[in-house]
Amino acid sequence: MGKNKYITAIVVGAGAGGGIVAKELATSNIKVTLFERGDWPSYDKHFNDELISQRVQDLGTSFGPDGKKNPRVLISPDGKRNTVYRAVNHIAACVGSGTVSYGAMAWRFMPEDFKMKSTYGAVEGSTLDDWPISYEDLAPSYDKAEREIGVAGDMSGIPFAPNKDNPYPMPPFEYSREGEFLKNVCQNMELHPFPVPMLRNSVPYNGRGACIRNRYCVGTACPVNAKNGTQNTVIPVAMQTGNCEVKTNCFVYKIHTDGKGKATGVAYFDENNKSKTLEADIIVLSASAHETARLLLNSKSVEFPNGIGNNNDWVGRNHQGHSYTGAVALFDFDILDLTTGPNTTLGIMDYNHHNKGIIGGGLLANEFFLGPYAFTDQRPPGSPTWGKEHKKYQRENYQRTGLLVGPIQEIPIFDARVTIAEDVKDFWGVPVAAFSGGHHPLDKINCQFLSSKAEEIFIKAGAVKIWRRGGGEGQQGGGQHQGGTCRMGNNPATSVTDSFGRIHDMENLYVADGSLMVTNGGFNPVLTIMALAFRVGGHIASKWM
Amino acid sequence: MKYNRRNFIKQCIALYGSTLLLPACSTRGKTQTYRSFSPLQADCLGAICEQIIPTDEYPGAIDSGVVNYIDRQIYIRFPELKELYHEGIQAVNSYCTSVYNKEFTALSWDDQTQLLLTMEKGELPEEHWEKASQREFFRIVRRNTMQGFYGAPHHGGNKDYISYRMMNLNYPFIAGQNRYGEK
Amino acid sequence: MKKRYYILIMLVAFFIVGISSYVTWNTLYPNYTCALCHEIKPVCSKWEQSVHAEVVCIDCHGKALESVQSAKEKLNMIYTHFTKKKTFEDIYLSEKQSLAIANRCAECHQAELVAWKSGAHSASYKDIFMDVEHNKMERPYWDCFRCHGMFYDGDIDVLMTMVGDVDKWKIKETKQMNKPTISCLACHQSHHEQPRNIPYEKMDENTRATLAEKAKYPATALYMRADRRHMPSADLQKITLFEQDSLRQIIDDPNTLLCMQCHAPNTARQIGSEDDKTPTGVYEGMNCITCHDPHSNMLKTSYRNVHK
Repeated sequence: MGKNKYITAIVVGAGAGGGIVAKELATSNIKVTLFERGDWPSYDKHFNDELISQRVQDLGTSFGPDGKKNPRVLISPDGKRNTVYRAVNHIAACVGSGTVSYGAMAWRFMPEDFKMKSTYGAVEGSTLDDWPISYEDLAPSYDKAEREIGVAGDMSGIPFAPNKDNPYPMPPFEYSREGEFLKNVCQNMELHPFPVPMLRNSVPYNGRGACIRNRYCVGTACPVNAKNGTQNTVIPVAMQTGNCEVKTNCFVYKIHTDGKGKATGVAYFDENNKSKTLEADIIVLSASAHETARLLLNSKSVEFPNGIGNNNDWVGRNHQGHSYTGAVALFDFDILDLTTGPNTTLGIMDYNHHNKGIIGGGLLANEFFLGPYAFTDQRPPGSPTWGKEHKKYQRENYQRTGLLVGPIQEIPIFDARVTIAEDVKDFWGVPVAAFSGGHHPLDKINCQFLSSKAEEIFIKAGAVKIWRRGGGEGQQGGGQHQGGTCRMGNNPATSVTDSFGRIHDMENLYVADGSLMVTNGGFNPVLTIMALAFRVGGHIASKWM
Repeated sequence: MKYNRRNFIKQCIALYGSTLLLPACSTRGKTQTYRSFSPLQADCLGAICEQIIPTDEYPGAIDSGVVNYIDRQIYIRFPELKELYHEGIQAVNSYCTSVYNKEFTALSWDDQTQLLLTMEKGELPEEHWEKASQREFFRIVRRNTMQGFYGAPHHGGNKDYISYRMMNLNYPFIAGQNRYGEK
Repeated sequence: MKKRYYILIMLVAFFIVGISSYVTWNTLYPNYTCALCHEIKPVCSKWEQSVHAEVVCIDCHGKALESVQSAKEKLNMIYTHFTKKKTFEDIYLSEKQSLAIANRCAECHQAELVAWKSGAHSASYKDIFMDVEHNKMERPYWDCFRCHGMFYDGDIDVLMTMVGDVDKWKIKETKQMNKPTISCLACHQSHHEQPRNIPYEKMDENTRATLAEKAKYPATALYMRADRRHMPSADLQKITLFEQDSLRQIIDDPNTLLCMQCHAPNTARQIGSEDDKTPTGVYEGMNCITCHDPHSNMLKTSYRNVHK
């Protein structure tokens, strides 16, 4: 490399991971091109419309992608293939990606989550393993994520919280009516409730104002720009350095390599659907667990006949996605108050680890408000699903229905995987991702455990009717919490990247998104993805500059 | 017809005259017209939707524009559903005619309810359902009815925000200018 | 030879027929023209019943061949109607159209125009979005448009550049700066009007019976930017306000509710919070327009307005 030449980098995907990597590199004077297949998000196009939101996608997705242009193939256990032309299992496709539309819960994983195998031992039928890094290794990156993106919360006094002595940059959100009520119940049960840490401004922060406690928060963009994502924090910082160009509506479909362990550039379709190439010294993939795996698997060459980094057949394996479980309860008074923000305010992590007979576990939090349409399916088992009774239930019980839910830490399996459906092409003619494999049997047991705990809390709370949610079965679809497909590890034979996200055998190709996660913890993953991106980005900057 | 001047002028006058007659069309019926359904089909579909969300103290599916919602969604988003709807409506009516000797809309309220309950379980005689699956048809109609009634009005249903009013949802959402975060 | 003759005849006939049809079309009553389409029929019949019945469609919508612009707009409508999958629900006004209609309103409603111009509601984009003192405290965002610039066609980033120091933030297009942010259609809906003024003795029984009901129905409506449509004030939901934990009395008046959509409290509905201007103390339960002129917002000068 010549002395007068800048080091150049390509980051694929401007979501939770890519935005952060772009900022870390750009502020270290590396010239970054940040690729995003979607556009800049606009609140106008995606206002509070329940039928086109990231949670309910009956008429489409608010932040893309277009399902008709981006099909998926689902392969059931009996090998039956089903091509779906709906936007399933996409996080979002816009600058900021899921961080524009998420509920914005900001969980740190616990130290045990990085040492699942040492804590619980090997599990039959599972690829459960330790991470190549410990909680302590990632803690400084968690700190950075919480400060640079912005988190409001308070974990002091929570014995299980690894950051109980390390305050957040913003005070916590006040409890909603349901949160306050359930907090008292939890305290009486000697559990340890706390306000859920949120990537939202509880007070003015980082040059933007405070949250207005809008109830349509999750699934849509923030009308006052008080929800923190990469699109309104790190990406603008990266752009202001003058070192970062964001290429929107550009879809990267292949990585070029030189056959000697080096990635040379990417091929992409620009906004006019013309195929182009761009070269760079460093390439970072942050396209989400599904799309990163798809991109690697689609990048075949003599050196990598099965896709880059896939000579040991580990790319796309250990696909995880969180079964969400819990319980629903009907009260004889209005437990919800629609004027206090999006509702999720109370969390407990008593059921993450150290529960007899349970490997992992999961958090419980009171759920975001459901929209009126989503509520039409929220009925006790055996109740009418239509007709006069159904309509009456809808108006009488919408504000009397409480939900306590959480993601169960999954027990990863080798056969839950993302592959390429060679015969099914997307709008640009690129083979699409296919999902196969299901769940480890323990997932169902763990879901039953967590939902029974949610039920217990509701019994103590005096609910008139309670029913549990199941989960942990069926096809592994990934969903919004997709992860695990490019596992990081020290052994190249049983992992895809090293502990800094570099693809084994590749000098300059990195991954920085949910794909890296060895196990997915019993927590919503976004803050961990952000921390991983700070770690990968910081490492690249220090190594290359 | 021979192509000559007289015929040509005749045709021209006929053409112009017929456009002047256009206003006559406007007097034909006062009911809404649909892109995907004939008036009879729309009546039958409306009756099914009304069973799913009946009128009580609040308007039901018909008055809140659910049929318009379904018609619009088929037109702009899901043209593939048109066939299922047509076949489903036909099957319902063919069953009604064979058993009650009248169409679905003419059945009593309770008979309609009973029929849909049976259809939901997939237990109507299969001979009427050779083309469409009765359970699938019911599932789609139910789902679309719920969307139409409880979704945002700009999709074509939920006329005058009726479901939001019914559920006391405080719409439009009111929030003052954020006074620089001072709480 | 014969062929050429026919073509000539055809052309001449085409012109004569075309022009005469166009003229006839423009002079006919809407029922025989615009209202032929099933989609706009309800709107036309509503209009016919309204106080504005004498204003015909083309007075606001313009004639097709009035100008190149108009011809283009109308052709585009026809093209969209037949080729793109758009329906009645997709129709909404651009800012340009909303301001054109406001100009049409002003042709007759001169007094209201003057009042509006004298008051704060005629603030321009420049007044609102280039207020450095405000911007220092909070960066403009989408939600500003909910009340200021409801019809603006773009996002906040389309309207202005917010790079560098706050005093350098500015509106990108100069011609946008002086446009008003709140025009007639912010609070009035074109096709949802007060009933026509008919002398009582000429009313039929039915109209008389519903007279009291209709009188309650004000001529105002809220333009909801997110939905790109109006909600008549009478349909706005009643709001409850609190002072700490105690409920405060608010008049159940559509116009007051309309004011409160923008002069709004925080989501916890605390009286006096954020932009809330709800009357308290001896004024508790009063209607905004009892004291304020609806178009200028100025206090009405005569006590007679209150104590008649």
